[in-house]
Amino acid sequence: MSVATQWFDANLITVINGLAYGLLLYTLAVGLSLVFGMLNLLNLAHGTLFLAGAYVAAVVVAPSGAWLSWVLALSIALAVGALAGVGLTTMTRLLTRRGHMAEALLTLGISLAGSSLLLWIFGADVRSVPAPAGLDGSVTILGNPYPVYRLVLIGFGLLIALLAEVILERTMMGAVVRAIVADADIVSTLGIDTRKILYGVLAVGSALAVVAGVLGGPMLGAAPGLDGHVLLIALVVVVIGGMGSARGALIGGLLIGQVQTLGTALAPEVAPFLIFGAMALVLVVRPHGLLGRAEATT
Amino acid sequence: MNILERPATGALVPPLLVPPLLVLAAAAPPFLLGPYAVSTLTQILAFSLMVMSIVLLMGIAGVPTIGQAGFFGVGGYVTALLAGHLTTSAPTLLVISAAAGALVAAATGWLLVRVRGTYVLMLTLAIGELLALVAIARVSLTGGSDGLANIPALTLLPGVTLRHIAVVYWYIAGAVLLMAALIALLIRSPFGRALRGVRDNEPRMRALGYSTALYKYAAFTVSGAFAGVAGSLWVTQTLFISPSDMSFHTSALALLALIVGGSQSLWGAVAGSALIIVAQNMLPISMQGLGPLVLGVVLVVVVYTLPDGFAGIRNPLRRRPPAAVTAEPLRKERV
Repeated sequence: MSVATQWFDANLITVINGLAYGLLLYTLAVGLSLVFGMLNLLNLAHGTLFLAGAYVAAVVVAPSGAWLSWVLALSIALAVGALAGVGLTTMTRLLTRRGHMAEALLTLGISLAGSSLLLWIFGADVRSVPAPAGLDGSVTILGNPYPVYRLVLIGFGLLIALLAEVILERTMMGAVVRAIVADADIVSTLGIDTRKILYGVLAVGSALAVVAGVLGGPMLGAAPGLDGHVLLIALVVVVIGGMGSARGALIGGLLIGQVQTLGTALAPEVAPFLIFGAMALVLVVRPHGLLGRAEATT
Repeated sequence: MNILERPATGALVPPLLVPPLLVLAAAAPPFLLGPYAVSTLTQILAFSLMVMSIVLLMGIAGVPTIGQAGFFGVGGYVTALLAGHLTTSAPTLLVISAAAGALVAAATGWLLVRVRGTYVLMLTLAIGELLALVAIARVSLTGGSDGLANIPALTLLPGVTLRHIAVVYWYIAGAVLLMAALIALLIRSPFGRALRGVRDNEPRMRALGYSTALYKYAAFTVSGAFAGVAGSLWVTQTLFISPSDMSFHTSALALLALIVGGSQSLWGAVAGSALIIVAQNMLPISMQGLGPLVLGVVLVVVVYTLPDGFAGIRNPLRRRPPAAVTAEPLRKERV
């Protein structure tokens, strides 16, 4: 057996974990990336939305992980996220003339207030979320038991990636979204109401962030500080993938998922440096991210 | 110098008298105020130096940042760690912290100048948060999220310990005054003028033959050094540092002080810091846990109501550089 296959056998579980984590990151980051590309808006409240979703799961999902409670949690997450997205769009629209820093400060304020509220409501304890009933068991992969739920997570992430791909690349609405990322001013001169699309994308992106929080619940739990952590990683994913690119977010998510899990498993001492190293490496080769457009850079 | 020949700027005192008066005013508080007020003032001054480092980077060079607390923390941790192992001489540690802040900024800043627009903001945030993450992860060295508490009191000179509140105040006030003078000189120097040129119209500066990326890199590195000094001074007073001092939250506090004070004024940096620190210390104990909530709400309100901070509403008749200079060029790039 060659060294490569031996290594793969030893680390297969870690690699699958990385895949599940990476697709979760994608679900979180795709909205951030699109909003970023369309509005040039750095939404620092994105991590707070994720944490809100995690708490929704921690509270709503029954200890047994009953199916109905999961459906309820996901519905609440969708509604909360969409509402928050519409609210965020309205609040940032008032500041468009004031530039990125004012918008970033606004979302920074919202995220600080939001996280503080979550801490106040749910306390500082780490909460765990059970996997849905029936999916909480494990299957055997190469002689190792592996939680079924993470495989479901992978399936779910791939489904969202597929949906995003079809909507963005195969529909008229997706074409408009991509056009706005390229040049919003030109699109509005064509008589297309860009505001509706902006509201829509921010609503869907925020809803996905909250849903990612619910889905990530059984894997990451819910605790104060998780919001800042996932926001940082989502930002790195967007920088690597290139802003405004859903495919970029997928590649970035998968890459960082592997770097994080393999890094923590093989070299825990340097793991925090590894994501930064990966980002630095990508920026050296392609300053505008893997699939970003050159316009964003010098 | 004939005072009559000077254009009527409305200054109350001749400029030559400003430095001695300033030193006198800065030296006075321990004689006039109680110990609590003096230690609050010390805190304000140390914090305001970090805000000044953001003034230099954001207000003058036009490089937006939300991760400055990372370099503040680098200076703080370097001072805290070396005080236990190498030397307790505060001025030496201050110089080493400045070097460490500059070094870390130089090691990370080259990424920043490769990108532009909102990307810069994201990268500064990522850099700052990663520095905090390192402080949390390296438990054996930094004490993890508990921070470092057993820092010995520093010494000013051999035999002069920085323990008495007044002595600590004088040392920190002196150091901040010196650094503020350095920053003011930098802003007025040809280097500072070039930075403002880069901020206002980068393509034109490039056309004029300036290596704008190099200027931004230098601004980021120098600003990292000043933030490092601020962190060192902070630890000199508190004798404690934890990862939360270098997190998101601290950067947000500094930014709030910055926008309240007006992004281009060193005086505004002190005034903004005073407001933030006093407000934070006055928050009733029952609400301490809700500090970030109050901070967040205030940030949202300030962003909407005070586009130029209090410095902007203080004197509407004074001619200022266009208010949106930091934001406008970035907006134009999209076209």
